Amino acid sequence: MSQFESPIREPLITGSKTYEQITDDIAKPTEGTPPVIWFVAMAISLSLLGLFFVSVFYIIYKGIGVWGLDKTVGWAWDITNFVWWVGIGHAGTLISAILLLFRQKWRTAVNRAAEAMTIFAVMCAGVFPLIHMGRIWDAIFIFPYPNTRGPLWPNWNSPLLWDVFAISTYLTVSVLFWYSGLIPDVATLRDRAKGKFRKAAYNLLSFGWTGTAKQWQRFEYLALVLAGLATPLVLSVHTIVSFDFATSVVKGWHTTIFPPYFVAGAVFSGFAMVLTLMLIVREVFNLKDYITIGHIESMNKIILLTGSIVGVAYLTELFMAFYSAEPYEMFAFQHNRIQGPMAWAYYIMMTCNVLSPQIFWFKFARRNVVITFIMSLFINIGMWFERFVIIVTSIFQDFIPSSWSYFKPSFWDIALYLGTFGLFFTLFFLFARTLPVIAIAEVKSILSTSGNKNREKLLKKVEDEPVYQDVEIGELSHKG
Amino acid sequence: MKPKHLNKETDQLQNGNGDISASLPVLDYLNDNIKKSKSSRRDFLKTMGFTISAATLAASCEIPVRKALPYVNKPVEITPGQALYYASSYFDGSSFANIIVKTRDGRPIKVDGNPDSPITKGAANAAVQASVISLYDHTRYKSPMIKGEDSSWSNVISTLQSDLEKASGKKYLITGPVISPSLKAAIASFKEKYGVEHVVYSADFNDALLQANEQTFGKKAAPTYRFDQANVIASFSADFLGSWLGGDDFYSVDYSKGRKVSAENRSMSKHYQVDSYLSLTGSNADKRLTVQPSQVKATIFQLYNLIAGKLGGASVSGVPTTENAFLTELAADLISNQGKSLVVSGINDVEAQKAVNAMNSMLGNYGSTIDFSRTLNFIQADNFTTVANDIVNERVGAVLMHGVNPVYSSPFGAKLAEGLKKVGVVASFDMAPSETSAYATHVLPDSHYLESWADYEPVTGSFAIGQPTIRTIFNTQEFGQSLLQLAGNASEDYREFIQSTWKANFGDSNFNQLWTDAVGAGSKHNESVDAVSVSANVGGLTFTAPKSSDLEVVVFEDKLGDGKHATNPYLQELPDPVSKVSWGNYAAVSPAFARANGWHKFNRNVYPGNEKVPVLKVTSNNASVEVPLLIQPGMANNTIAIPAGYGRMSSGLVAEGIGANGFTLTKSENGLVQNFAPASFEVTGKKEEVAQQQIHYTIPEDRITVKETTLEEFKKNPKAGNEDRFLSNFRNAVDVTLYPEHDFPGHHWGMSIDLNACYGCGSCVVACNIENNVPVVGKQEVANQRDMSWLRIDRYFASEDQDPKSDTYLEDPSVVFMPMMCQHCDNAPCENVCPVNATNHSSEGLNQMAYNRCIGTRYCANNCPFKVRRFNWFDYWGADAWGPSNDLKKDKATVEMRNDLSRMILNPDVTVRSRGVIEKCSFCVQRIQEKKLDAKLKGEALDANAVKTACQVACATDAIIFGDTNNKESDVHQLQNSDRSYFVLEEFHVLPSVSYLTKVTNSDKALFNHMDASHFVGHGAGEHGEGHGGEHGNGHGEEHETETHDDGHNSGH
Repeated sequence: MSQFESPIREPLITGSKTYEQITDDIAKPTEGTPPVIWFVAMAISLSLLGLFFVSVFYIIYKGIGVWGLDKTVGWAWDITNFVWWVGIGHAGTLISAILLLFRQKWRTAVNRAAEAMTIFAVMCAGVFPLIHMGRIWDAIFIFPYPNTRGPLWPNWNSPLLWDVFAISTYLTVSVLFWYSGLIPDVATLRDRAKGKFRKAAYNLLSFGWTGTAKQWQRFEYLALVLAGLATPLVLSVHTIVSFDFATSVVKGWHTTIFPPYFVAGAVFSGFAMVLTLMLIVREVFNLKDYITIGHIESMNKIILLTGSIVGVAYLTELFMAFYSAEPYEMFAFQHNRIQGPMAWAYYIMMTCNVLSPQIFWFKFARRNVVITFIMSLFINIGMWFERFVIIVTSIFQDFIPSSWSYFKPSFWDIALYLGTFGLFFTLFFLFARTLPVIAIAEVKSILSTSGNKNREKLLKKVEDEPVYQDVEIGELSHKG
Repeated sequence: MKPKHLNKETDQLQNGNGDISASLPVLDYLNDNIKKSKSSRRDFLKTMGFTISAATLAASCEIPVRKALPYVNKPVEITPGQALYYASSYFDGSSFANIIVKTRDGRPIKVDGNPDSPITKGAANAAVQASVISLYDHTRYKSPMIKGEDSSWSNVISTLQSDLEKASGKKYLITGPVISPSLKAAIASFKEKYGVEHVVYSADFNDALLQANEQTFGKKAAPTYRFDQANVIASFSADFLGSWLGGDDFYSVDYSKGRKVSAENRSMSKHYQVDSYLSLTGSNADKRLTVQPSQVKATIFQLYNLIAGKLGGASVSGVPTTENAFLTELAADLISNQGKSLVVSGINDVEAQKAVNAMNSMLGNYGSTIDFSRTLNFIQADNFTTVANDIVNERVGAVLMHGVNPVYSSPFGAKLAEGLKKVGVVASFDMAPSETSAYATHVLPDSHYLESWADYEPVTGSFAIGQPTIRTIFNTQEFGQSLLQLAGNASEDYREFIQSTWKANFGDSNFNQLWTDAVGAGSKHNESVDAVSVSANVGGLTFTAPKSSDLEVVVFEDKLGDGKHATNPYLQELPDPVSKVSWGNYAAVSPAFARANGWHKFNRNVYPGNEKVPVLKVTSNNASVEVPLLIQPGMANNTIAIPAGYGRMSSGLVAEGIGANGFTLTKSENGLVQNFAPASFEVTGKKEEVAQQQIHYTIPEDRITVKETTLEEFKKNPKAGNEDRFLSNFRNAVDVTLYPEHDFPGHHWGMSIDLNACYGCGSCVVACNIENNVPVVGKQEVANQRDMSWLRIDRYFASEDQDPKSDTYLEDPSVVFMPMMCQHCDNAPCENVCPVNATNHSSEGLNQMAYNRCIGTRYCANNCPFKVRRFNWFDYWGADAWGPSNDLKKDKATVEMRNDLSRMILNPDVTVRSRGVIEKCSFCVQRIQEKKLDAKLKGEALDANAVKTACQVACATDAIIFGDTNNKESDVHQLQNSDRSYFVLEEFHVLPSVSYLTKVTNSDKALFNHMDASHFVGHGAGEHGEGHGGEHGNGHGEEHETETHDDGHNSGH
């Protein structure tokens, strides 16, 4: 990774770090006593986790009749939350795999946390398809296992079955990717560990990593192979999730534009969630030298791009409904979304996903931490509503008017959703306390080229070039 | 020669490779290894000890034991698993039906109309269908009681005998209408012994009709009406498809005969209705006039004057003379159909009923459409006011009551209750506790009609037998039996008493044969009766305008009748055909009235999320009820309509606290109970959910869910309203699906539904629920939009005025009833989305559910364009072995339905679904299978129309026809290929198996016709000619067969 980089590029690591400092900075949150705010956050997460277990138990015990669903609206918050969490889980693999293949060095600062987030988000997502089943105790029927009933196999035409494979494959590859990347860093922690138990634990987790050249070579190969495997998955998972809707006959679901639209939306929401988390992490653990404003700007650019793709998709849907002159299709968009009893959800979605990210056309906004944080929350909300709009507003008033209905969530709809936040953040905070939130080894690998010292050195060189005699270097260089 | 496989077996034996080995090698192994083994004998004992104690511990967990006892001596006629059918009769005081009772293993589980009945012609309305569950009602009286203490029959009888003898003052026996010759005889002997006065009490507002007939014809009786003979029907608030004079059991078949059309028969009756609220009958009318309830009488007299003016009768003075186009047109139609028309009225007003009699008389309808030689004997009513006065004024020593509940249903209920407390002897012969029987000192519980012997003469010359189909569940006996015992004939058996009455009526000769035939058929019909010609005395008509007001309230009877069916969970759950409300009553007001009061936002057609509506306190006649608001199209303006029959207080868990008692708003005037009065209302500030099973009721303009045409168009072209179907070729489009198409080499089951024959009663819904063990879910779950009906009747309104903000929008709506159930699509969207193949397609075109396989993802329900799939949100029936959601105490109804006695109604042929699975219409697959097996046993091909679904049997008007569409002989094949036939949403190529026949209305406008007629100009819909089933291009010049899979596979299996 030592190809030439233009000296006027923004440094990816600031603070004139040495390799030792990098190790110290990143390993520090796992070693000392965490800040008070960590305990506060953990306490909130644990209480939400408690709510999670209570609601899972209650919903299974009583039956999903405790939700607000009815004969017309068979899916609402359950599948909305599922798609939302899966979507969030997209950024991790995108950053690790696709950006790795595209050699985007800025990814090194965020990939670890994004991958962890992916895994936790997919775990949260997985809860919903399970719990939403009427008979979770028979969930095994969905797997193709040899049986004495014929044998009776699952229905390979059903997108729900494709989902099972898509999600489980994605989770497996994501875990592998994440964990294999962790090994050198865990070994670093092991080497620094003081306590006996701590040493033993990291020793076990590091798989005996010693850092030999051969190990590094294999490590690099593995990363590349997994990146190659994961890249199609980034596209396939949400494509298949979109098939849950696209292969149906329901107007508003039955749309060929769904696969790219869903993937873009997933990346959009995933990056928003990465930003939400990383902005907090860099503040709490004081990692501003590694997650710089430049990183934030890069991610905001991706958000602007994917947000606009999503916006185009929304407009395309509207146009197709109008252009098809298909009464039911037109009804789904005109009377269920733009107007009608659930129009409010459509406008929340439009405002959060399409209008508000347009602020990122402005550089000051892209580089402003507060604006970025607020926008990331907006997008998370907007993308939740996107799924809600797609799922509920399409089916609550569909083909036969006699069955038209409405949807209001019950307490348990909301409780389970909040509960998954408990699961997610508990896991994330534990992760942040026990494992390096930034890939130490990978960050080190770019220090020599993308660190601020190297940049300054190069700039000095440039300053000495006769052509630039009259130019103020300050104009070229970003002050990070 | 030895079979080959035997040789092999011997070989194996010889070689020692067979089942029995010469030596067991394992022993050698064990002997060697036991010695080497580290485990000692003690280890073995320890392990065994642990294992046994663990197993004991596990096995000692309590497992409920359910005993099933086999027959020690099996009755000859009972084969376990085989249903037995008995003819019997249903009579509840206001409605009668000849029925067939289905019993399984000694339990009656289903009641259907008897199609051989000459009087009810197979009709059995929802109340009859649902009556089975009242047999298994555990809130019934379980034994005779004296002053609230259980007692024995002999004790109660003797105590009551002596109490009656001791009682001073008047003695009254109050019963509902009595149409049983034997019961009449029993009452007579009882009356004679104790000097009791027999009074017939009826809450059905029919008194005026009887009085008017007495004055006009000298006969205090209700004639039979022949709606099939009438070309023009004029009904003034007579809900003859609902509660009027016997209701739909008597008139639905005849009425629908006049309404059905086909390419061969292009005529239908014209039905005019004057209503103050939208009744079921009114919603089937071709033309409606809505007026305030007090104005109905004036319209009758206006019509009378119009007709009298033309036909030379004396006109009545004082009648408003405002020009009324509706009445003018009606008068002209009636006059041009003299002898072929019918004027009926349901208002309880002698003057008005006399005017109706005069009109029918002038039009020559007596003898043609109205027949006095066969009278409706169950229309009886005595003046109850004097009785009530006597009771209130403490002039009564003893009151005996059977089948009446005047404390609840009469206008002076509260006073009566006070009076009854002071009566020394109050004996109740009721089956179940009621508001009135609560005051009984002696309770002599009647048996359920399915446990009783009875005879009836509902219509002159038509006798019927009610026979028991089960032994009494509780310690009860027939009312007649109790009367006989009280009269001193303690030894006489009521069945023998009935036989002796019949002997007296029909003679001794050959009586056994007569009796056996009558019991077997359930009825005995005299083909000829003495012709009665009546001479009408129509003079002296007077018109007194009823008190009118700016705001009036009208109380009407719906499916619950006078409240007697309120304890029936199936009927409570059945939505009202017009309002679609279940579990409770409401104050129905017109949309314009709602807008004027600022309630527009509670119109859930527009604002579906607004579940809670204000509760109104409606006050009239010094009484008031609190009921939630319902915005009901087709209501007369400034009128509030409230269904009666709700708000029962002491009537089991099911009815208690459901709705409010509308009867309190009625008032008795001159002995006639008036169901309307000036009223006022106030908004209470409370809000309540109305459990409506259908919220949205208009069809967007660009959707062709319902096809409709006018009779005029239909006469020109039977394809009218259905033209698009003959231009397109949705059914045979090729290459439009990714999935392979199904092949149906044998049967292909299908259904045809005639939108002209369906009048919306909901009998099929109840029949389906009972046949298929569909759970009752209760008010809260219905309000949550979670009703479980497999079959629902969609009711839509259409309005000429398309602007929802306009005051005339839906003021005079056109109404259509559309039965909707699983369409058994041959390219079913539900099937390919199920991840576990729980729903799949049979080789006979059935879309079938494997409940055991279902994991409940509900994707199928989401993807069903017809929204007919139902999910078991909770364990409604108590079907799960695992009981957690058994503690679903949300609703009394579900608790009631899951007790062991109620569950006796379950049909053993149909799986009871547990929580978490999807269920839906199966086309009564158990009935298909039964008939197929019958045919197979007989070695015959299955008869073309042999299989009848539960809904089809329940549908007296034959609106639902089921059968094998592959069999060209079948009715359904003919119907599906007729000009009126269309499939809903067929443009999506889901290939439904249920076709609908275009609705034809006998009015100027088909408001449901959403097809732009100009679209067909130039395409020549008629060009395809009369021959249906011909070949039509699919638009690409290719030609395909239009009839699917009709290559004559009409063989059995």
